[in-house]
Amino acid sequence: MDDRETELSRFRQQWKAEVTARQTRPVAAQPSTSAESPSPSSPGAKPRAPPRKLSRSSAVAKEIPDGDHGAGPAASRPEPESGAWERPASPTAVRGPSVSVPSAPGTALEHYERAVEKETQGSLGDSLSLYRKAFRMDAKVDTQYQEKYFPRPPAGSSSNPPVPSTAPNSAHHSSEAVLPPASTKEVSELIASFAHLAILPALPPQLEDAKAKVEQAVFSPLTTLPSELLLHVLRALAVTDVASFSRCAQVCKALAFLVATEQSIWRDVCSATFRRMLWDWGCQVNGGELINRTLLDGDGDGDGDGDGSSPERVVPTEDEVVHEYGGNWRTMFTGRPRIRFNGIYISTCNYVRSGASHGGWNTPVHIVTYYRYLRFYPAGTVVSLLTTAEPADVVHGLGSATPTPAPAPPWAKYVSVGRWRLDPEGRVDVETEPPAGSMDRYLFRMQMRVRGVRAGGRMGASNKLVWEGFWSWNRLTDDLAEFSLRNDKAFFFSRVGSIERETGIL
Amino acid sequence: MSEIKLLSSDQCTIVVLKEVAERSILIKNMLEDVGEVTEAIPIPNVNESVLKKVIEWCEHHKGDPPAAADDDSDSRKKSTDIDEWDQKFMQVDQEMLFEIILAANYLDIKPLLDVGCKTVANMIKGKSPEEIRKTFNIQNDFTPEEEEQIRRENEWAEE
Repeated sequence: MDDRETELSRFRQQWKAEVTARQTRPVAAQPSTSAESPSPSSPGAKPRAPPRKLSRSSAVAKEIPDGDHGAGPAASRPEPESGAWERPASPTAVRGPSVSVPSAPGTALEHYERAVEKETQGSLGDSLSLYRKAFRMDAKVDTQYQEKYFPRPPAGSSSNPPVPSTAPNSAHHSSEAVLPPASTKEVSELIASFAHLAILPALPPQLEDAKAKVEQAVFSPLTTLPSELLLHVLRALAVTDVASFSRCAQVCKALAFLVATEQSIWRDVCSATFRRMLWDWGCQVNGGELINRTLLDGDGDGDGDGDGSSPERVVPTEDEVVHEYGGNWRTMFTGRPRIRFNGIYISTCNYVRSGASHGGWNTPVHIVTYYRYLRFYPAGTVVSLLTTAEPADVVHGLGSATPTPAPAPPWAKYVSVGRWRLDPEGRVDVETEPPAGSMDRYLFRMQMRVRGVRAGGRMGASNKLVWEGFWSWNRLTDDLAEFSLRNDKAFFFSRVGSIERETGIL
Repeated sequence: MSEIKLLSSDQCTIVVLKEVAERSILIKNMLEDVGEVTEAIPIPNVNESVLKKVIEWCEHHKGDPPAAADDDSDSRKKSTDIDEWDQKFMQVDQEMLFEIILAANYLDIKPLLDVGCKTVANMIKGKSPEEIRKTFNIQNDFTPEEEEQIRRENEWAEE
């Protein structure tokens, strides 16, 4: 036992020496402005010498004056365990600036330092009495200590605290932290830092200054609108045009914070958007009113999860689904599969065909490009087109409610109509009838899956459809034939301005 | 048809049909509480020009069926379209527009508040961030780096 004890203490000494050696101690002792007089009897008032010499020194500074929040130790402890505790294995050795020369304490500060040291060694009783002495000598000793070991950055350097992204409302004093360079910050941190600008208007952060200035110069009503009315405006905007709402984030910090965090608005956006999804057929293939007839009736190939005539398809409710996205409506909006109506899905396919060779000394090849276009409608119908016509010639006319311009485009007669449905996992079924007169006895069925494709730094929202299968069904013989998808490429969604204007859906 | 008097913040008395004034839930509740009043009802937050404008709206809409109890799903569906008369009514300068919104909020006239907020939303719709700042005189308080980060964060919505 004794051996082990001594070994342990030796090891501890070594470690402490190492830690002390590494610790570059910032020296600065500005007098503190905020009076903090924690009750000496409360262990919660002790400065928990934070674990760190971390690169994120920013997080350190504001954690120190925790004694004066009147909260218990647990509450005042830095709650973001987000990588802040660098070496959790042995807190005793790492925590606390180790004062290595234990001479008899004289000043309050020295008492305090000894107390910290004792605390880190685990001698809580000694530590407590030293704390008491220290506080009796100087009630503000803790701030002295803080200034000595964890000095604040010069005031006014920057006012954005990196608030832990998971808890943007952990209201700490904001202006005391240094920022890492903006470029290295996480976006979530950045946005969280804007919270204070909006939430603590009493502080004079840049935003308020700016707005005040602007107001003097010119009338700026939006900036003075009470927040509940601002939300009302943004909600009206968001449910009709979520892209414009998102763009507001780029206007100023306060709006960036609102756009990123205002769950109630995103919730409305979700319910407006996902209400338009059809979890089962909304009409017949030809767009007619639904009667009980399904394409794959009687297909016995076993892929029929819900293909029969009595499909028990799940109709998800938003409040349940949002749990899959961490309860975050905005994440749900971007992440949850949906069909989009304000544009056209385009699949571009290329294949190479070797041409006839005449002279025998060359082999011409043709690169053939063709396109598949799909346009979905909230009513449950879909139009599909397979053509070599370029998107620029197609997207504005395809399936438009207004009659196409006088000379009907050459592709118009190949447009086929059909219906669509979605399932909660993002599987899209599309059934189409070929244009009249061509292959009347067939129906076509596509099965696809909704995906997001990366745009810039972020996942796009449901802007891609990948193929999962493609069949034709001969209605006369009840034959189901599968097409090879060798040449077929995924569909990518493109917003189309004329469609947005036509449908009013954004 | 009984009439009541309203007293604007700048001490102007405006006579208005009770039925019209009761588009304002605030006034309606007040009248229900106090019964008949002969005195002018003070509306301390709204000046004469704005109050007249609001009354103009109330007169035009006095026959409207009362809004169903917060049936916002329905109003949301139609939120792009503002009735033609209302659109014209809202063709005022920004200051008046916001005054109307504030007054509608204070007087608790929800449909008018909705129209006002939608009008502002339509002023934002389709604009670039810089255009929005110009429209409403908002200062850009981002550093260029921050602005770029926020732009990338919201890029998906433009797709």
